[in-house]
Amino acid sequence: MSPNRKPYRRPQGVTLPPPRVGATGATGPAGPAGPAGPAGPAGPAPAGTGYVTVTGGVLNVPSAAIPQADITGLVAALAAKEATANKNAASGYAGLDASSKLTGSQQVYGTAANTAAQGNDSRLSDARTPTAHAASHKSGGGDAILLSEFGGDVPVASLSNGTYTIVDSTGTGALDNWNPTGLDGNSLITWHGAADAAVTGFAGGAVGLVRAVKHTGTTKVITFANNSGSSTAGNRLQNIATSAVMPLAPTGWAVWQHDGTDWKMTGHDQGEDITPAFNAAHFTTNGTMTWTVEAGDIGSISYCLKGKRLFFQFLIQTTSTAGTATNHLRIANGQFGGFTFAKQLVSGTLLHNDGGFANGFVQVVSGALTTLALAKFAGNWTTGIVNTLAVYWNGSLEVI
Amino acid sequence: MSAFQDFTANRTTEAHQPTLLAQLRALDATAGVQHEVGTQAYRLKKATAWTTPQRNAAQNVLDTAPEWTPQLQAQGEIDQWPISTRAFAETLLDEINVLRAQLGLATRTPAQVTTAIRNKAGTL
Repeated sequence: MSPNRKPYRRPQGVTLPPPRVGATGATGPAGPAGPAGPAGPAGPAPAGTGYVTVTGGVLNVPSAAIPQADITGLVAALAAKEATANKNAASGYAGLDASSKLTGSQQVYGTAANTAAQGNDSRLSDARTPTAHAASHKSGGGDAILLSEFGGDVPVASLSNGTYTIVDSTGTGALDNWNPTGLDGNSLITWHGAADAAVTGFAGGAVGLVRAVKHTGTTKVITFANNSGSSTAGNRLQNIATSAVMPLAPTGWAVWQHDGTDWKMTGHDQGEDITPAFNAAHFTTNGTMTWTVEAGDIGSISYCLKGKRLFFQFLIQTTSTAGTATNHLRIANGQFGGFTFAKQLVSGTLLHNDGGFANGFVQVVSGALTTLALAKFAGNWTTGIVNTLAVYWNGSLEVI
Repeated sequence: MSAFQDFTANRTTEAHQPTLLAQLRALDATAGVQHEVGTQAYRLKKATAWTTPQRNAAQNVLDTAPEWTPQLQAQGEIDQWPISTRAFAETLLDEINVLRAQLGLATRTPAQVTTAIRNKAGTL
């Protein structure tokens, strides 16, 4: 109601005529739907499998597939949809004929790209070089092979006989069971140490293995001891010359081969001459006469060993004698490597100046095989000589 | 301890070694010589340290010692005759002295003969 409109009030004391009745109005709109009725009775059971059912208003799809034959026109409809140009074609799709097919897209047979090999493809039986995979067979690899699995008549330790390595070494001092880095199989060791070295054996011996050592330096000496207890038994050296350590000077070389027991030397050449350290005590006589040799008297003195043959030379001047005259001046083996002579001998021509130049000879005396005796052809050396006695010799002798 | 001293001779010829040594030992009785033939290098040795006057004197000897000649070499060999050679010479001398005696001439001594031979070698 409008707020400006006053409510209608009938006037007091007025009689009103009876109301008049109008005509009946039109029918109003339909009312809302009534409540749902009760559930109807269950329908009939399906006549076969593959059909859907409706239970309580819910559509049920059975697990069993609906037979294609029960779907009118399905096969024909699908066939119409098939892109047959791609059927069984390269990069196409596999047909539905149930034959064996590649997984995924179908490839045609052939030898070109995007083709597949058939079972009788010649490539499947070709000799092929396998991809390098040595790492897998090494120790710790995915397909490691143990040396012991080779077995047979070849000792496992000798399997490396076919290996040839060149090893460089600068080792110095005592080298027992010498095993320079990289030593493997048959090895050439090139040595050029900054100081002298003394080898007593090689590590890694096995039947047939060869070790060669070459002095590639310009100074210093490396020596090899015979059958030294400083190395383990199988690593020891059995040298050609046994009475002293066998040296290598620059350009020298030596070779050993293992015979299953130890290393047997098969060749040796010292190389350059070695000048021994001066030692006045190495110069004596065979009597009470003294032979005085000073360092400054040595013009030169040196030796060179080749296998068992010792080459020795000296040029000694301005020496002196005193005491009772005798017939031998002697040089101890400390001046030629410490070797013992193999046999008694008289060798070579000694040049001497004992009051005048004359010839004499060099002798190895029985019972004194570690000294070299110098003699005049006859008589004693002159005693009382002061700074004028000289001796010169160059020869070779066999050593033990 | 002996003293060694190196020298370079101012000469290209070889000195006669026995004479050289004799002259050096006249300067010092303990002198000795080291020398490589064909070079001018000499190393001298003596019992005591070298003084400057001694070095100068030795250098002079090295420079002036007589040159090696076949005549000097022969004389040196005569000085070193072995007993066998001396016996041969003196036996001849004995026979000569017998003849000289028959002729009334004075005998010759071995020293006289040796000197005569030595002098002869020096003139050949």
